[in-house]
Amino acid sequence: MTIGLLFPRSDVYPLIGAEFLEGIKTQLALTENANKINFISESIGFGGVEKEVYGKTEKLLMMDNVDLLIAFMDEKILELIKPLILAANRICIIVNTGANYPINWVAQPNIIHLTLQHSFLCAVIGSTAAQGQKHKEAAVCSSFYDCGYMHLLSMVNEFVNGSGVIKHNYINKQTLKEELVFPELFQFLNDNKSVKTLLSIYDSKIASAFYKQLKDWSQAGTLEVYVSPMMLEEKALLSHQDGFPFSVAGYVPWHSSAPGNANTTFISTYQKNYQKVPSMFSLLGWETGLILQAIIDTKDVNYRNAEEVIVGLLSKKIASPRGEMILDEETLYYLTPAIRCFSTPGSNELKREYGIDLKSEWEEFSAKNIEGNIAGWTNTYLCY
Amino acid sequence: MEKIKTLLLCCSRFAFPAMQQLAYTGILGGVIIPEQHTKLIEETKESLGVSNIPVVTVNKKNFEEIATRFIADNNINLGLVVTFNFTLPSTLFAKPTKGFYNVHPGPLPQYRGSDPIFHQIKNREKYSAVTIHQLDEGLDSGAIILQEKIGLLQTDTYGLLEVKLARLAQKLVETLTKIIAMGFNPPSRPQEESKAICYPKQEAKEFTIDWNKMKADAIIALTNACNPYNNGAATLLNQKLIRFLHIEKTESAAPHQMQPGTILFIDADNLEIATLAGEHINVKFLYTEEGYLTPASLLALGVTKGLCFKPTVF
Repeated sequence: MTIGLLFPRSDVYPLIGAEFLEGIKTQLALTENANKINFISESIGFGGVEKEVYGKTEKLLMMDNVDLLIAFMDEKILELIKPLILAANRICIIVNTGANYPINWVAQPNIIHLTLQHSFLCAVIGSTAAQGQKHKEAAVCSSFYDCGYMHLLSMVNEFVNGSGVIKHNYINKQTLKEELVFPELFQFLNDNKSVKTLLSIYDSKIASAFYKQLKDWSQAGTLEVYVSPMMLEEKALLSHQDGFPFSVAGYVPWHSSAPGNANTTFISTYQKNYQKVPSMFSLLGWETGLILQAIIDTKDVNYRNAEEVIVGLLSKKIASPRGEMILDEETLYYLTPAIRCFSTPGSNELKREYGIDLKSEWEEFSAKNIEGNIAGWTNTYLCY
Repeated sequence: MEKIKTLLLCCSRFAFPAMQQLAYTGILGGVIIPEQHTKLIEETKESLGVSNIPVVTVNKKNFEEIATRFIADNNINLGLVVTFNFTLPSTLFAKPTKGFYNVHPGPLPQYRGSDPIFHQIKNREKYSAVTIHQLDEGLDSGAIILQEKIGLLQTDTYGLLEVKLARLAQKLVETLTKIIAMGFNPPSRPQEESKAICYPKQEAKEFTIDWNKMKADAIIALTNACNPYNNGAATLLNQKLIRFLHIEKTESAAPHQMQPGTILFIDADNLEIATLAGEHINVKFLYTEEGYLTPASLLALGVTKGLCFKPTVF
């Protein structure tokens, strides 16, 4: 079996491609299936240059004639390569953080999605934020980069659908090279004492600075801060082991502390091979490896018959480090349990509830199509 | 990026979002519309406004000659058909150097023919689709470039589905033109002939409710397929032609033993009718020569419980 692999590059997460590939290979190496697979890899840079992405995909599918395509890329650019996937009639596994989601959720032939469910988890916490009886008014806090992805739309939409009211949109336009400050946000909060809820979407690096500034604000103890998954990454929390004076709540797709044999095996195998703790990109790679194993282990399957492969996958439950991973027939997105994270004001402990089943929330989320025009960044989230 | 100049052939509002997309990105070279579509011609000219993009009208006789000349005179290198009355001869669709493609409001090869929207709703499909394919000598039979599915809801009328598909067509046309502009030749996949079904143009009898054969769901689907197309699904009451526009299924009602078509209940908001297998339907809006009506109007005209609807006769 020859697999085409399109992997991304990132200046802020330079190991994104390497760790993804390490995850796949480490997983496959656990069985004899590793010997049955050849990889042909191509870098697609930040994933936003259409000609480059199309050209590399065309090469893998049409010239290298791969049996299956794995593409670490965002939803937007996927639109462009759909004719190639259709013409080649190959299975394509689209992998990304899930910061964007499709305009049309209906499953398309040949395309399977594996994500970290960022938009979805933002939607769930946006809905939670609206359920609080106390503070229905909120300020949205994001960066110029993060606000260009649909995770922000998800969180805000669910908050507003729950009759929450957005009183302020704060978008920080600084670059990572500067010392991050948020004066306009504090000015707004000082002038609008009734707003206690913050809907926050930052990637882990900016999140750490955001937390620091919030902690230093004199009235921090009154705030309820609802956060995106990247804000609960270990990198974001590293400098804040002493906890927060405000409450924090959010969901993450995975954490190294999660119980279960599948997670233990993942972490120990990866650490043994690479002498480091696996990242979320390693996790996506590992899970991609699990899907490949499931395809290869399907009896008499023709890898090149996309319909046959998908029928096989729909009937299989995969033991992922995140928990049981199942393919949703309506959307062809893989679903996994998530982890709810929260801390109360003044507590130095971020609590985690593992294995939260969000299937009904997913069904509700994926039943809504986006209306109107959508603008935003074209490159893969975290690749810049 | 390569310079693209597109000729768009169309005869319905289904083409509008795609046309606006082409105009917005500066690659629309002209639009050809059959002359009988006067309203569409007017709306197209208005929509394109001050852009100076020519809108040309044709008839069956002069279409080939005018289109051929237009392609040559305006350096057209891409052709798109987005619903059109006339068949294109191969001499014409071979002219643009970057190809001639058809944007079809249905899945192919399962829904070939001139009006797939009507048949998909009538057949109670769970999904609809837009397909872009190369033109060839056959009807909707060319190799497929792009195909994307969307959900078809039980409440989707012809008009609603057409709007949804038109938006999807806009997105697919954007993708197609991007690929061509980047200098790539869009790949294609031949249609599976064994799965092909071609639906001929509907006859009047296909718009009528056959009370003795159609169950509630089939009547509702036909009604949605005929709204606003044909002004609704046709039936007769006391020899008067009535067209149903919006029906709801009465799920909780007790089964009846009445002849299908019999009015079980009527008030200002509800017109409940017996259908096959003891099921009920509830008509909310209808159309007659007198205009668009609610059950209240029928009540005022003396329509009462016990009267029976009959199929129209052809």
